[in-house]
Order: sequence, then C-alpha cells, then structure tokens
Amino acid sequence: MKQSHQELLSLLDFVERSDMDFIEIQFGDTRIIADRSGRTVAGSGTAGQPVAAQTPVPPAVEPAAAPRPADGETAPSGSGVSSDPLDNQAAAGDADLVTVPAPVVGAFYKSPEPGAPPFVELGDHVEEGATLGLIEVMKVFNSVSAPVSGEVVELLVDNEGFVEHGQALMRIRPESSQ
Amino acid sequence: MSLSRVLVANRGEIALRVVRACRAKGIESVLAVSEADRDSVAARSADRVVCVGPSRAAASYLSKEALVATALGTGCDAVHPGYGFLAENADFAELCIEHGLTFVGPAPDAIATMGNKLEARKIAQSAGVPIVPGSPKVATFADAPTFAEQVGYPLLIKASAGGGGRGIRVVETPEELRANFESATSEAEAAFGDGSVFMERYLRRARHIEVQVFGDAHGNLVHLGDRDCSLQRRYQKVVEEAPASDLPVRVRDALHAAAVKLGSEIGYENAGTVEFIYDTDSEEFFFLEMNTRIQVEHPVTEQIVGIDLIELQLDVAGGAPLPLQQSEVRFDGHAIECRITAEDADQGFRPSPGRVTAWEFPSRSGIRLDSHMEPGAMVPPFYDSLLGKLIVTGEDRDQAIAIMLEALQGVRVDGIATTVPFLARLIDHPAVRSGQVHTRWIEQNIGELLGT
Repeated sequence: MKQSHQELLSLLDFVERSDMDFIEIQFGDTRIIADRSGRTVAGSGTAGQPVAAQTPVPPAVEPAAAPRPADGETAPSGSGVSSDPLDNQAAAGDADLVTVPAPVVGAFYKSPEPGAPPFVELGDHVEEGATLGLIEVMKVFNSVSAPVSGEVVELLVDNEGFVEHGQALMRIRPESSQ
Repeated sequence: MSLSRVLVANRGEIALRVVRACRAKGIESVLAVSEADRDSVAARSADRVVCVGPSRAAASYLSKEALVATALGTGCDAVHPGYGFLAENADFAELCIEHGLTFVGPAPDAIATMGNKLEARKIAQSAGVPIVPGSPKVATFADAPTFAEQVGYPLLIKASAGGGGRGIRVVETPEELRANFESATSEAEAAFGDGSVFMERYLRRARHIEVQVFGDAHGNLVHLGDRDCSLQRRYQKVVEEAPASDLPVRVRDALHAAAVKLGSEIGYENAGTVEFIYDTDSEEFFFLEMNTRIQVEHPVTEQIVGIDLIELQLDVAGGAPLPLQQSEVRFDGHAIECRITAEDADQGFRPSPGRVTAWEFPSRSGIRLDSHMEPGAMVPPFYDSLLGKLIVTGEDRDQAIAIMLEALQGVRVDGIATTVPFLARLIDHPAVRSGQVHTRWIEQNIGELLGT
C-alpha cells in the first residue's frame, strides 16, 4: 500500500523491458503480479478493489484446459497486470463457470485445521453443499459451501488470505455443463 | 506513536471527511463499505476499500467482528468510528483495544458511563453540573404516578439507554401518563434492547446549547466553545450554529466551565460534546447528555476556531498532546450549518432515495460543503438520509444568515427530493433571523415552513 502509482508504473516499465515473462512482488499485504505469458493470472493476496459486477462473457470456443486472457485483462502493452484480485468474471471466457463468493469478510482457510489436507483441490469433484473452506471472523469459523455440484477448476485465494465480503474464492464447472 | 493506517468504519459524508483527514496527516485509510456503498465517492477516495458485508447495516456497518477482522486483516493500527453506527458502542471500542487497535475516540468506560443517561446524570451531579429535575429509573407503571408528581408536569419520559430522539414522550397531564409510559417502554425495548425509562421536567421553550470539549491522554482538556442546535424536528437537529447567539456572558462562561468540569471528572479523551438545555426566561441551564464522539455539526466549531477536529482526533488518538491551551483558543466569526437530507418536506418529510442526476452548489469564500454526493450518485434506501452539510461562515450572525440564504438559493439538485427549499424558508423566517426559537419551534410553526 505504500507504493505510489508512479512506482508501480516504473516497475511495470522495468518488467516490460526485461526478458521476464512473469513477476510477482509482495510488499507487506499487497501483492503485484505482472504476466505477459498470456496465461490467466489467478488470485493475489490483497483485497484492495471493489468486486467487479458480474458481466456475461461469451461462451468459450476453446476448451478451458487452454485458457486465454479474458477480454480487458490484457493491457495494450502486452503486460497482463492483475491488480484486481476480486475479478468475479468467469475467466477464460467461460460463462458456464460458477463463482464461489466469500460469504463474510475474514481469513480464508483451505483446511479444517493446520496440516490437514485441504477441503478441496483443483480438479476435485464437489457435491452441492459440500464445505469448500472456512472463513474466520474473530475466532468464529464460517463454512463456505459449494453452490453447485461440479468440478473445481480455479482456486483464487491463498490459504489464510484476507478476503472481503463477496470476493471470488474459487470457480466450479457445474455438472450439467460437462 | 502516531497512527499509520486507519480503518474508517462508517459511510457517507463523515467517511469521506475522515479519509481526507487521514490523507492530510499522511495516514493511510482503509474504508469499510457495505455492498451498497462499493461505488461511493468515499470508496474512490480511500487508499483501500474492503466490503465487509451486505447492504443491511446490521451485517456490515454494525458488525463489530467484521470490522475488527477487517482492520486486523488489512494491517490497520486504528479504527475511526465516525458518528452513528458503532461510534458510541463501548463494546466495539473495547474489542478494538483488545486486539491492539487504537480506537479513535474516548475510552470504553467513558462511552459506557455517558451512554447510560441515568449514570451520566449522576456524574453530572457529582461534578456540580446542574441537571434537569428528574426521577431515577422507573421500572413499572405502578411507580410512575408518584415519580411524575415529584418531577411535575409537563414532563418527558426518556429511555435510559436512549439517543437519537427514540423512546422520548412528552406528557402534559396525569391522564396521558399510562399510554405514554407504555409506548416509551416498548419503543426503548425495541430500539435499545433495554426498556427502562426515567422522567425529566419538560421545559417548554428551551434552547439546545452544547459545548465542544477535547481531551488528550496527558490529562489536558479544553472547550472549543458552544453551538446552538435549537432548530430541531422530532428531536433531530436541522440547523446548527456557532457560537450560540444572544447568550449572557455569565451564562456562556458557566456553560463552558460546566462542560470542562464534567469532561475532566471522567478524564475524558478525544472529541466530545456536552449538551445542555437552556431556559431563556430564567437564564438557567441543565445538563442533558454527553455525546462521546465527533458530531455531525462539528464543522461550525471548526469554522470559528480554525482547528480541523478530525485531524485533531487522529493526532490525539496517536498520543499527541493537545496543541493549545484554553487561553490560546480563539473564536472568530459566526458559522451556520444546514443538514441537507433526502426528504420531501412538503410530503411529510418522506424519504426520497434514488439517483442524483444534478448536484450543484455555489462555491465561494464563506461557503463550505461537506458531502459525499455527486451527479450520478445513488442514495441507497438502507441508511439515514443525510446528503451533506452546507456550512457558511460570516463575520457575524446576520452576515452568515445572508450567505446561507444566498447559498441555499443557488443549490440545484435533481433526481431526488431534498430539504433545501424547506431550509431556505426556515433560514429566512423572522423568528430564526432574530434567534427567537426553541427546540419545538419547527414543529409548532411547520405550517409556515412548507411550500404551497
């Protein structure tokens, strides 16, 4: 948060002129990811921006296994900068994916307790109502439930990351669309 | 240890005001918003915004846990509660402190003590501050008639946990006692979760005069003068001014001294306001209550003392001593504030939420607007209807009134109804111009103040 706009721009300029495809920098609680490989950047640790309104995205032509940047995510320079971790738009232009929003503000936990296996991993099949994670608000744990049955295709938040109300936590491809 | 990152736990104009004060002090601001306020001007102005819950205030702006979790999760070292919502909630202040956060306001026990109206009366009494003749807590109606006779009619029934005018009843005669007692008790129970009430002598033609006090953590406490907030509607302030006009020097000095005495008695820290009612005929004043927060009407004081009270709140919360002694506080000019709300006065003050399509105010020296509105802004139906505060400053009261009238007449707001036309008629009324008003004056003269 201490970084000024100017510093951010000069950082991006540095990345732009380097051979790097991908850079991830963390200052305190702010994480900046710059990626010009064309991959979709998913998730970072800050909740600085309001959640973008859910907008319809045209159905993907390619299979989701080969994601491409969604419209508007790629800067004209070619640097895909994700400073908006709350992007609730279905990635990879896939309108079928169901976003799981954080029901409350707090710290997100992927596992029921430290060291235990996570509730879900990428590619897992989940049933509607299954617990996907926990969000702790002042020692009170709220479970995050699957809104639909299907396959977990994206995990957007790190373990113990601070999430805001409504923030996209993961995306599920519903059974019916598979 | 000055503050470095503050969670702003409020919305509307005061949220924007605090965000800007943080910026002026080089402090980062994290604004807590509900889903309804994600696109607010305050949200655009803050360094960081976190949605803490749905539109419903109970699950967002009133959720102590969500707010403290957000302050901790975003690395804040302090919380500014603004006014309303959790600003006078001792448990919230306590929760902040338990988690190592500085609460920008007084200590939790000062909030709790003054929040209980009966407790506050006791403190005032022990500090030698005059209180309105009244009863202790009246638990059941069986006890009411005896206490009522002791207090005398007309009397007020008030909720002991009260505030914001809720749970208050005027009782003119013994016959009216039972119905009013019962409705006050049930309203108090519903609004505050505490149905206990007490009675107080009702002064028919009283003015509301309050004194701004400010204490620091080093045992210093000063007053920053008085404000007159007699123009009220249903116990809600409509117009405020500083200083209170037409007050004998002896009375003014005594009011200031009483407020300082009361604040010092409890070792009060940060911004607070001691409210009094003043009977013009007898020149007597009585302690009403103490508000343990920054108030909506703080700008009129700022205008005449030349101090930014929100910045001072941040400094003092960070441990700084007050920058001046009582003898260094100077008063200059006269300031008036009009509260502009999204209400249609001519339709019984019906709330008027919606989208603001035009928002134009005259801008010149002597006119200040504290508002979170702009063209295209949405006034959500979930919260109070305050759109902004128009504050004018003149060399004296007459000049301030003239500037206010001119300013109000230059306002253009489209899309929603506002109280601007009502305020213009109010400010222009001969009784207001001459200062011959009291706290029930608007209600008694409402016919002359509405449009035809």
